Amino acid sequence: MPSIKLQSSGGEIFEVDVEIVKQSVTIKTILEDLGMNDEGDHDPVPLPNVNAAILKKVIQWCTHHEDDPPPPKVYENKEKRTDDIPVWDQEFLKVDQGTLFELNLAANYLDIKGLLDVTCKTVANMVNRKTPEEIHKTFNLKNDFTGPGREAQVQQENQRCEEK
Amino acid sequence: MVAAAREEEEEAARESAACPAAGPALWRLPEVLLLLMCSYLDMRALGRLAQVYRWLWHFTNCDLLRRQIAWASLNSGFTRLGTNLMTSVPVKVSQTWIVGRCREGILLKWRCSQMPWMQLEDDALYISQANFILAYQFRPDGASLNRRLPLCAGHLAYCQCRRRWEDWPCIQTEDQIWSVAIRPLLSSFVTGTACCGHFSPLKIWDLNSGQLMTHLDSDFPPRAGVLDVMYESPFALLSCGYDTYVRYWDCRTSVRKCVMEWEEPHNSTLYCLQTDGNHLLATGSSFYSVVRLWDRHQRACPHAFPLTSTRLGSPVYCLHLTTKHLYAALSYNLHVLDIQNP
Repeated sequence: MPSIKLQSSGGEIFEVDVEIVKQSVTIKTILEDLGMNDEGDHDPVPLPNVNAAILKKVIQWCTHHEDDPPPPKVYENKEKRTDDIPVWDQEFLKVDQGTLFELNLAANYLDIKGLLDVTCKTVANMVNRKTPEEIHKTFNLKNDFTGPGREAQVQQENQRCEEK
Repeated sequence: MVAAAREEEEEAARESAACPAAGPALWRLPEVLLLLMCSYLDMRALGRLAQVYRWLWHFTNCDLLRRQIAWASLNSGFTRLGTNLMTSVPVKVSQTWIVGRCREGILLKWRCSQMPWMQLEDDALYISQANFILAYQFRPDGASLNRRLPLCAGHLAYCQCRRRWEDWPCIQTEDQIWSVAIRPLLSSFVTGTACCGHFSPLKIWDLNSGQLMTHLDSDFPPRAGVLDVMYESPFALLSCGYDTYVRYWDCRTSVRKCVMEWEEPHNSTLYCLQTDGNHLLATGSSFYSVVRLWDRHQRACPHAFPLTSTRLGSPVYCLHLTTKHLYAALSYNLHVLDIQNP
């Protein structure tokens, strides 16, 4: 099976099966544009926006999902769910926030829809069902609402959303 | 104090222009990814996120983010067929439509029992009173009226209307006409009749020739008259009447059977209906003068607002909706349900 070399931002080289990395539309397009689909020794494909650790994780995800069917077309107005993340992906994404966000960035840069969806859903689940104080702690955000009553005003604006 | 508040607003406006450069890892994500993540959040989660950080408050209130929520909401100003501009405010108000909270008031009263018709245009209300059409200007809050506007009355208005219709054909329905609606393409119109001895009270006519084009369904029982009918699109209609059902018709699929129907739970005649063009239906009946709000995703009616304490009170003859108010005309008064300030 033909393989391709990917070069991370730090210069590390990863050799991967072509069919696995073609889940990345970005890499697939590069391969097609440069005529690198045929057998033979080619120069590594540089990925300056992805470091080695993240690239390794991305390759791990793509390897596990190699045989997945193409993602279905999602209509803009269809309701989005976050409770359908596969168990393997849930375990795969049990990482620190920095790594999670780097994976999200890498999935966006490499245009891997499946990985982008699950990382976004994972972050959304970190917000869902949390109070503002819990969200502060989760993301290490400092409350910057200043001025008398400003925070209370924002709370009141969003009170409708809390009603059942 | 005013200067301090203004300075704070100006600073907030400057901050809202860009995501914070330093700080937690969340800020390293570009806005397009933050938008994608937030698109998975419901209104409650977005509301809580907005309370966490000032920049997030601005971010979660952007129209692009609220669009998908507005699509799924009730009466958010977003229709299936239009490209309505919407802001975060109607989306938040639409949450109140969902929970069914409102403040009720009476806008107008009159002495003699009427069967009023009304129409809203911009900030003006037009309402029929016997042989008069009265016009009022709304106050900015939409829940009270300002002043009466000058308008032609009685015979003069009738003559003006008749002059426009002179060249149009007359049709013979052989039945009492209770409701009429013109197709948005202006090529045909539909009549709702009393269903006395006829197999369908809903007929579609060619507007130019006056010829009968088709009738909708043939299983209406006798006397199942249609009291209100409206086009939602060139092909979709809504009807309601004596048989206590609201029906949604799509002429592209079938004229023999409606696509969807909702049954009034108290077996009460439905006199009028309105829609927000998306998921919300509103109907008026005579049983306690109830205004019902329906979510088209559901069969059952989630909210009902009785406007009188009399079981067999006045029917609700006419309804109108905006994103913030519902106006219901009964025989003696005009009610307003204020959703924005419940």
